Amino acid sequence: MIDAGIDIIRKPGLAYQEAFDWLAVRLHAMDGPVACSVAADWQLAEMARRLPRVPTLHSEAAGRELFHALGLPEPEISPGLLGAIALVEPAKFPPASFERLKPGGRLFVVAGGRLARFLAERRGRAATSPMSERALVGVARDAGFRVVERLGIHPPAAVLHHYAGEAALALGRRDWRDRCHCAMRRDFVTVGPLVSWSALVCLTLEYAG
Amino acid sequence: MSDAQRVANLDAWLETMRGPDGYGGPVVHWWQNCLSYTGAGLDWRYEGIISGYLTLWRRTGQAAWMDKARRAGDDLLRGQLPSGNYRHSNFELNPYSGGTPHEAAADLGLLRLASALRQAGYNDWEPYAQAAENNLRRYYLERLWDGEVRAFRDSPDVPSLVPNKACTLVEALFAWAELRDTDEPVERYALPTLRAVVALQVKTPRRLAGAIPQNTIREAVVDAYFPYYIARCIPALLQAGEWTDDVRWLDAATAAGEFIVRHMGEDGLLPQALYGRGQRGNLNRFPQWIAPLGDVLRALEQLRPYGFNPDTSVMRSALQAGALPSGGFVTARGFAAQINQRFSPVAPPDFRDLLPVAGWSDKAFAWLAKRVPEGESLPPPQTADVALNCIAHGRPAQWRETAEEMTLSAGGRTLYHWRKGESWARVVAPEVMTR
Repeated sequence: MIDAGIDIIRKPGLAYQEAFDWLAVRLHAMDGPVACSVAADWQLAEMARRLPRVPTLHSEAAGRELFHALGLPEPEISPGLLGAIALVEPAKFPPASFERLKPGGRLFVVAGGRLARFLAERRGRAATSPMSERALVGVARDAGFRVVERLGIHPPAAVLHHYAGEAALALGRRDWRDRCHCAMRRDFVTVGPLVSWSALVCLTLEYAG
Repeated sequence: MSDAQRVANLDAWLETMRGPDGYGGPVVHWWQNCLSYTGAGLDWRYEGIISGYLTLWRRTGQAAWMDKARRAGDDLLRGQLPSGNYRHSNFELNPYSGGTPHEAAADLGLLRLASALRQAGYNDWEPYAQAAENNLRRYYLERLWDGEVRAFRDSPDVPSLVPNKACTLVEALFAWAELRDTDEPVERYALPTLRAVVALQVKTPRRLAGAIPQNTIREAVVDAYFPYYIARCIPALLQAGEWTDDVRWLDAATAAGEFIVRHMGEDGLLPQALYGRGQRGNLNRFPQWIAPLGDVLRALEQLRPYGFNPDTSVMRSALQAGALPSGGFVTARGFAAQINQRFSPVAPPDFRDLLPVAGWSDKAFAWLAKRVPEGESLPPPQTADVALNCIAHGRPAQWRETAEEMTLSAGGRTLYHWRKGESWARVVAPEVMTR
């Protein structure tokens, strides 16, 4: 357990695990320097354990203790323009670090969808509420970004599979419950019209510059 | 192909799975998958890898195999965190620390390595022993030991017992006691934990006799029975029998073995899970493990000296047939039927069946290494690229593996791409984002 209150063996819910994996894959595939900006200590831990060399541009997180607990050196921000920035649940847009993005650079954003209020991590959250996907996309377009990718994580289909599984368990059919759980995982990420109705939305935004 | 050839090919394949921090690669599993994170997993793969290399060192007398076992141990030492946990030890749940039974399995690998080094007269065995002890003390004894129940929990916060995980930990505790010539890890922790496990073993109905349920949560028994995981309970029960000379441990181990053999199909494969306490009960047969059968065969063979000697030749053949041209082993059969449980023997396999996983193929490696003839060297590896038709998310696809990469494509699109050695996949399409 570290001072920042983060226990390194704890995990966030499946939706956030999937979202942070998505960010890691996207940032890993970029050439050149990248950075991230997160809103909470536990989110910094999620980024640090995935991409320990990616620096954090803006965070209220207690980074030093966290990196020590994870056995990692704290990364330093390199000067110059960035090819991409990951933003996790930003409270405003464009972010303060926006001017570091080079023309044609990308923002990889995790924002809340319409089912975000059901996420355990969102309950009892502090005063700064993150922007919704809808609000964020509107402001981003005005700021010169275009949306090039949009994914929904934990969409309604996955929710239905989950409740079907609970119903099966109530009927004494744990085997059906397990199958429903597998179906839930299969349908855990969506593209298309139900993206907005997911718990989390992953956006790739390209800056026209 | 001889088993020695299979081992040589597996060794060559494992080399392709190494990155800067150890053995990596994607993971597919019943509970979850981990396709995006592909860096080193300091998890139960290290039990099989270290054990396999130590076996090869003993059987061939060649120091190169000890060097590989030691290199694997060094991965764990470098990846140990200030808390005593290992980095990225959660296998299918990676990248997280505190994985169970994974950290205990890694400890077991380290303790076997330390013991082998000490017996052979090397004087640098102590750091491996200390790393395992650090993890066992600070994680398992301090955080997961439930003094009231006198067994290990699966989580610090939730009263719970997962027998197969507890049994892997018990194996590590026995190895610790042996290395340090002390009774305490066994008498104080291992035997009480095993008593809690055996108390859960099913007596009736016959369909389930000998089975051990997957877990308990808040004292409620989860009535799901996974033959593979039940096999992983057997070695610890046998060690308790040897330690105490109490035949009840051997009876429990034999009953577990009988349960497994009773459910072995004509093809040598096992169902994934049985459910319910009734006479008929229910079943999720698919996916059926193939590479992991190494653990099942190891457990059944350990029962032989105690008079339990079933015919496992079909299971052996099923495992041996799982060798891929790359040297890795197919993981399973029937992932495509995981949800509806309707398996088509003529349809192409799901890509998850074909995907060789370091933390599954290590089970095949550890078992096959014991079949290498004493005093003989391994033949040179004979591996080749893999290109197979398969199914991904219900659609036709192609799976390719070379020494440099793994790729899944369909309809001209790349659905998945991992450059071996890298910590993250380059491409993970929404269709395969199935944690």
